[in-house]
Amino acid sequence: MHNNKHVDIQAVAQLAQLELTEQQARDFGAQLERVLEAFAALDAVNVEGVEPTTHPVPLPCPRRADEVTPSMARERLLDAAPARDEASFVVPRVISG
Amino acid sequence: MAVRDEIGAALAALASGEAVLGDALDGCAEQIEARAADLGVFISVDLDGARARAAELIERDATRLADALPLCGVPVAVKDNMTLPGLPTTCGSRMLEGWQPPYEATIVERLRAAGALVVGKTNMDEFAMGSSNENSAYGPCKNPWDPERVPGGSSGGSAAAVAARMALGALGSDTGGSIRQPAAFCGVVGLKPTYGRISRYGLVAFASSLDQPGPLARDVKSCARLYAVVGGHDRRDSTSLTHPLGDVVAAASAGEGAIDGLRVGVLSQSPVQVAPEVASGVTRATRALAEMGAELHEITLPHAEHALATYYLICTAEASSNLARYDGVRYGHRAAQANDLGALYRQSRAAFGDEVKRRILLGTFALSAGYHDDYYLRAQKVRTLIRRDFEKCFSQCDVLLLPTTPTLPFRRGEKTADPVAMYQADAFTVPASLAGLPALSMPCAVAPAAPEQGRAAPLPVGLQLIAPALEEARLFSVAGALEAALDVDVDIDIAAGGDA
Amino acid sequence: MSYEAVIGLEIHVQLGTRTKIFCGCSTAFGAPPNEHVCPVCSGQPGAMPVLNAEVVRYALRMALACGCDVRRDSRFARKNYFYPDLPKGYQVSQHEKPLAEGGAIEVLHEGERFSVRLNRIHLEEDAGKTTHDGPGHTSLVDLNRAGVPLIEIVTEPDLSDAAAAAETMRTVRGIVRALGISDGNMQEGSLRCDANVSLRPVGQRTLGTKTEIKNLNSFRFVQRALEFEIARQRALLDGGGQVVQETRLYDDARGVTLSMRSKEEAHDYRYFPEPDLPVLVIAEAELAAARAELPELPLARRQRFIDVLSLTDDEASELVRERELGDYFEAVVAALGDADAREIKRAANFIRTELLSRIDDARDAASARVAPQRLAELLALVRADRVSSKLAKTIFAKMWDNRRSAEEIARAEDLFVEQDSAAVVAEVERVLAASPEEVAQYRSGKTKIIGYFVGQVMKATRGKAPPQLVNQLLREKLAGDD
Ligand SMILES: [Mg+2]
Ligand SMILES: [Zn+2]
Repeated sequence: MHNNKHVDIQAVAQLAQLELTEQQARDFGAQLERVLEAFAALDAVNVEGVEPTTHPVPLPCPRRADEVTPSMARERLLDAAPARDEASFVVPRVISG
Repeated sequence: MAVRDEIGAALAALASGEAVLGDALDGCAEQIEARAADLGVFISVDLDGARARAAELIERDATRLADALPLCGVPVAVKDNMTLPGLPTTCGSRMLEGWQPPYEATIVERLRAAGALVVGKTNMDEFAMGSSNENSAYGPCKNPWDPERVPGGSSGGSAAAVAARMALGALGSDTGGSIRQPAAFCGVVGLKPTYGRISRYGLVAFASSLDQPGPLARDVKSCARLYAVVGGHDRRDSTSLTHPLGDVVAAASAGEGAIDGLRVGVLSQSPVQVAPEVASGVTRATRALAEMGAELHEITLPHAEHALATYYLICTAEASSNLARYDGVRYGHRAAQANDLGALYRQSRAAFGDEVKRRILLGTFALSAGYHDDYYLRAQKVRTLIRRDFEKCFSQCDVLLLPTTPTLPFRRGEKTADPVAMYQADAFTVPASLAGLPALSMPCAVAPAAPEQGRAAPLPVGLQLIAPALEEARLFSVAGALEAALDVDVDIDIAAGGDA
Repeated sequence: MSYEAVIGLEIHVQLGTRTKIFCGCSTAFGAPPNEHVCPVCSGQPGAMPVLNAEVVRYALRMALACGCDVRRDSRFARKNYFYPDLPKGYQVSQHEKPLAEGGAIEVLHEGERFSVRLNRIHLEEDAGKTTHDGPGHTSLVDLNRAGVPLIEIVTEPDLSDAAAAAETMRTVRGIVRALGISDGNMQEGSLRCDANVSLRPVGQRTLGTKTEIKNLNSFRFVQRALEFEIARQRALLDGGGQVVQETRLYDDARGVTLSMRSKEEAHDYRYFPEPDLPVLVIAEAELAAARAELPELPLARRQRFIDVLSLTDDEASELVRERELGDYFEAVVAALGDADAREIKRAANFIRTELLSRIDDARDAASARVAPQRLAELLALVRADRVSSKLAKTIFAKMWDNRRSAEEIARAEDLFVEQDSAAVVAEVERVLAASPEEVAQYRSGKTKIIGYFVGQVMKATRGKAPPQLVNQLLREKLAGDD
């Protein structure tokens, strides 16, 4: 199934917002390919008609009443931020929309 | 043979006036001051806080409290991925260096309400990703039995703290074996409960469908005492189970009677090679159970050989999403010189260590367009097959007995170069994680020092018991009986282990 | 070549619950930045979501109102992407197994009724807000909106023109207001949509390449953006070019849509089931309860007003525009007792002119200074010919100002119809005597001039003379009396 074990590591890193040096890209890329190779036996498992397990112990999603509970003190929230102004978190300017 | 119960003994001494509240803490503080820094057990130590809390309890009449509070004056250590206001929660990462959590984890809240004294936050593999505690940004934690060796991971600090008597109990978290494997490597008892038994509210997520907090202690009954306090339903965790825990503390001292007629499943075939010391330790335990009247059944888990691949694809996929929040905007590390948003993200997230990056990359890949069905989805389906394997087993037997780890504690640096070899350390622990089943690791033997084989010190061997969902009490009763029968001497010669 | 447009909408509706979807923070609009934020909705490490029960109730109401199939085991999923207003790095949404599928929205546009089929309705959380005016080339992030509950309504591509798309949005607003699940306010962002649009040659079945216009937040923008985009695509195709599949933004100042391609990285949302939230199970009893509390939808009400109450299309349309206005009207009709068609129409017109001119928003009918009961009392006086329709308006104005009853005002200000016919006869005779020329004109055949006499009589009696009687007397006197 996974004939092509080559991974475009930089594309994956881009999705994950990780920056890789060329050396890292080579190392991580090779390791990732090794791991996937070691996992290739999974291809042989017959999973036809098998439902995926998304929650190990099935139970219905609980719900809470629609009642307001106190929010955080804003100072506490913003003080933890590496960059803030009076009332907001600050990030480098985002170009449009 | 008397049932081991260190925490119970400390509570009794307090209630009878034999000891005063704070004695147990003094003993632990002594060990912490002597060896914690060398061994790298803690990321933050808070003896002052523990003493202040002890003083508060004394003021409220210590002897009376000893009857009312189930962990009154008991020093405990908490893994550094659980939020506890007043101390930083780092998860072993530079990313969260100095982060002061704005709220308290349910489990920490329950520990403290029960009168426990938190002595510090223990070292761990970064974001709980690792099996050796070598992936901590704050330096490795060492195995108290032999400081050249790893304590296991990711709850290595919690296991080491208990083994080295720096606390009477500890909380760890287990995703694919992160409580059981270090418990085995450090010669202590560790429980990974049924998924959903202990609240994850305030446990920093690694892989949400697998993560489960759990207790570690030096004996089975003490472990049950911790579990009885932190376990149970919590409305703040939507995956929390509502079923009552049962009297697990009593179960831990049920004695041999619990074994008579017990159907014990043992694997007819191991998915990985097992070291001879481990194999003989497990065999010894199997024999002891048979002598107490257990029926042995050979069982198979046909899909166990795929458990590692399944586990690593699922846990990394979930981790890639759980760790997306570390972006340098609201808390944690932020790169100083980022002048656009992409740079802010990428440069800030450079603070993750290599193993974390590796796993984020693997998980991102496993979920990405074109690969999702072949990797992530396929793994989730194989997970179902593994669950069914267990269901079938448990129609034939009451508990499964297998090694916790394939090897004795390995040397630091031995496996760091090869992620695949490192992942093998979890071969026996991940199946129960995938199925959400309760599993307990306990010492079953001590391999003596063997200088000719490169073993400078004796090393503990762990065995693992797995039960059907919600059957923690059964685990405790079997483990309690086995502990008494095996009578393993897990007291480390602290002086000898000191300066290796 | 002639083309037809194919339009589908992804409509986001903020649900009007008190608290956010997964935490107890308030959803109140307009608070200072970051006031309504907690560990859960700011994505603090270790915090976990707990679903708001009211969100499910509201969403079920919408699903049932649109005739959707409600899934008994829907799932939450994570949609992964990085943006500063998305605190966890993923949005909790629904993907493979949404709450509801199928169904349709009935729309009335330019006198024609059509249905826009729905693909799905799912639950999700809103993101925070990023504003781009921070000091020193920065953007500011406010998380008050992060975690506010949304339903996303995805339509099938059943629309073919911009005005109909805008009308669909208006219809959705009407429905969510009627259901009481959202204020549907586009200015405040509680209703917004993305529009997918493509062109294909008339008669062709396969769809052309589409573009997606993001975040349209007024009815006018929906219409204008689509008009522009359809024209743009047509010009491209006519010129032999090709439409590029991309995301576009509408710039109202320039009236154009602009490509966002430059800043958009290839999106790969890596959806997977949200492990922190188990399966959302909907029980039969819950569905039945939701069905039982469904109110009548605006279009059905409109039809009933036409069929049962004999209103015209226009009258009915206006009165069902807001639930509160329709309720007001129905309360007046009910209080009037067994009113006939003429009286019902009188009530409708009174509300459309007198009431609506006095309130800013038709929803304020619910708290109007003149309650429906009071208006009915006034209209009852008209019905009994005790007050003229003209004076009824005067009385209504006074009721509005001083909140007294119609009866009290009419009595205090002497506005009842003159019941003494001798007095009216005298007045008619006086007017005729004073206007010999006009009388002569009438008798020479210019009978239309009777209006003049009526006016004079009414003026002299301050509108209190019964018009029918005045007419009758005038005709008698002008015809018979030489
Ligand atoms: Mg959406
Ligand atoms: Zn909140």
